[in-house]
Amino acid sequence: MGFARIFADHAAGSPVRSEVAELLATLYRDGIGNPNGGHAEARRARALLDEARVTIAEAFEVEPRQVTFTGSASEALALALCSELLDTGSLLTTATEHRGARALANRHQAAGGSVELIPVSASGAWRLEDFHPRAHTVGLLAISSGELGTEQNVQALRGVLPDADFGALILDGVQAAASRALQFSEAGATHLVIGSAKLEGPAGIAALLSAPDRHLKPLVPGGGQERGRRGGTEAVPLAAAFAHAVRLSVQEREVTRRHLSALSAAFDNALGAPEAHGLRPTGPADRTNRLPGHHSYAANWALGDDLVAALDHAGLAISTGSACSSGSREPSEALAACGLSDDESRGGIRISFGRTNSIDEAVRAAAIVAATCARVRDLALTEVRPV
Amino acid sequence: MTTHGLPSGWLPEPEAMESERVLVALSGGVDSSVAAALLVEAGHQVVGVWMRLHDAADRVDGGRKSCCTLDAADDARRVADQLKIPFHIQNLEREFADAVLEPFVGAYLGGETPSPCVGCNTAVKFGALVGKGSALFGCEAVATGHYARRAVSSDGLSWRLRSAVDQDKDQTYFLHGLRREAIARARFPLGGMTKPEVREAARARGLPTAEKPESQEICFVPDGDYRSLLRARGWEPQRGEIVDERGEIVGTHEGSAGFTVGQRRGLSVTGASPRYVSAIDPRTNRITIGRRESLECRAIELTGAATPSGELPVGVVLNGAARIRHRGATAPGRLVSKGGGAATLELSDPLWAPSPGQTVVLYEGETLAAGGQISAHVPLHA
Repeated sequence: MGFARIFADHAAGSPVRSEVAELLATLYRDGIGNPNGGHAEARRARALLDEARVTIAEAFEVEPRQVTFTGSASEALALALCSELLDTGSLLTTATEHRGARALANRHQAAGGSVELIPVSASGAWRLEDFHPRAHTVGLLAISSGELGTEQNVQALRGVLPDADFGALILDGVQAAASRALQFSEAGATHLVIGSAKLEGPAGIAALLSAPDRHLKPLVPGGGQERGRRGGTEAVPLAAAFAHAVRLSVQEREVTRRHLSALSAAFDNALGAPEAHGLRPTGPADRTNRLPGHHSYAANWALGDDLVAALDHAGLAISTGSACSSGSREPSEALAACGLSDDESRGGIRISFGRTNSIDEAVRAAAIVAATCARVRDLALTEVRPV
Repeated sequence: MTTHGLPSGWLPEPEAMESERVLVALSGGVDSSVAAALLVEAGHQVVGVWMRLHDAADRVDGGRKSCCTLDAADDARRVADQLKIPFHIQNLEREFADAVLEPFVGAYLGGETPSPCVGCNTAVKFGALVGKGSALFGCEAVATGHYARRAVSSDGLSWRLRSAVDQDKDQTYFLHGLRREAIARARFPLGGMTKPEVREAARARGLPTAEKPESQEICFVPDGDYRSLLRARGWEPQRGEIVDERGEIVGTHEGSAGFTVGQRRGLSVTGASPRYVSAIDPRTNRITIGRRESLECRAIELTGAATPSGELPVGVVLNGAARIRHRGATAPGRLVSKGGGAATLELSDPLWAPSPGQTVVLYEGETLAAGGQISAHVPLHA
């Protein structure tokens, strides 16, 4: 193998950055454990947890008591939704949501609740003209789509939502927080979900930010942890590491954003016209409406999983963007909602660069995509099926 | 004259002299695990693939019998991890549905007994998977844990399957549909081993699949009840007549697609001696039964008759030992081609209960010279 592998699946989760990994190692080594107790060791852990909560609160401009730590962003979404939505209530969402949110919507519908989908454009953007959401509905929506890279216009959505008799707006800010400033009040959310892994923090921790007047109903009852909103001993080292990752991410946000834009430009330039490689670009063509460093395509001549496997073999780590571990052949709901054919919706891939990628890696990634597509496509079109 | 049980003009497959890039189809069972281990130890660049073939893959199988559940995929992944080879799940549902599932259902509804493993080996494992392995991973060959060997013609241009050293486990019968191009790219690392040796090899390497039980049933019918699969596919069983060889009604049945030629179980008729299904007519939904000896055959009509080089021209005659079921008895016979895949197999000694839809193979020495499908048979005493 002449070259090192390239990791370009940051939208699925970036490797933990070294400063954060060092902090984690130190905290574990120092024996930081349960923050609930009447002794010095517990108080030390409690102080770290409080500090982590303050850091997260400041980053998103809320009060610390509005921050609830959870084990994952999916759990935070579920906690918010189950607190706001009655079984018979109405849920407002889109077909392009993350699988965690789609699963919640499907479960609500299966239980007899009503689900309303905001229509999306060919690039996955909300189509809000002529859209009038029902009253007393609960919105469950991502600010940016991980699969398509689409950055949604949350202000415009607020404009069409009824002020008085609207239920609640739960926003998934996991992808968005990695690349731009996100203030709770500006987003106009009732609840905002922030994850750790996309910010180069550890997996296994996330935060639910909630408006002060909202009451959370715990999914897991426990011993009063997280103000009674989530049972179970708090993972203090993970919370501290998450906060540190957020702090660094905020400090470097502008530099990172510019670097990601440069990576995208280098990749686009090296790849040339995607159509020449049999790839149809998906998500917004205008990069100002798109997560920086995010590229997505669909092929109608191969399964997305097959392209991911072939690119993996060639040294490039990417994903389909709608990961499914059991190799299912189901078309991507998000791509189908954008109007792509069945074959194209099965052939989606996503390349997502991160802070640690180099310009050279972006250029080499384009070359690997071009060469792999040429080989797989050639054989796909001439496939011999002996019978 | 034969060499190593090989007919004149055929040689054992040569040892691979150089490192190859080989895709190994890992089922999550012991055989394919050992096949992969042997290839890695021989210095080949191995890519492990578990095939998702149908939605039985969504089941988690506590019984650990089928090769097609999520548990099996996990076992395959653990083996790949231990061998330090890349591992991918490949979706071949569409290919499997076209080549195996649909023909399986169609055969039963048409009064035949299908051979799903033959279609899977021919069109999926050594068809579509070969293409995927080449396109996605640059693999020149596909290896499986089948018990089979290969033979090459002395001019090096042609290939045949050769029966495995372990005669009890030999699977060439199910591989008969492979053409020479496919055989050239197939690798069977277990062909020279016995099953106990394979188990021992797995234990010696500490493979997590070493003690897994054999999978016996058809992988997409994990509970063994193919009638429920047919019902799920729209079959509506209807009561029909059971008649004897004189055409006299001797009983009734609950749907002819539930029967196979040679079957004795499930026939609600009384008689002095055991009776067996001798014919199934799906059009009249009628089943004919007869005495055991009336199912013995000296002539079997074939469809799809071919050698590894392709379809047989009209008038070609091949001599060899015929087999009409996996691990069944062989009988000397001659295959006379009528062209277009049609052929007659004439047997010197009778074979019992050839079931329409099932596979016939003809061995020349240890090599598989030709194969086809049973279309109809001429009973010995007719």
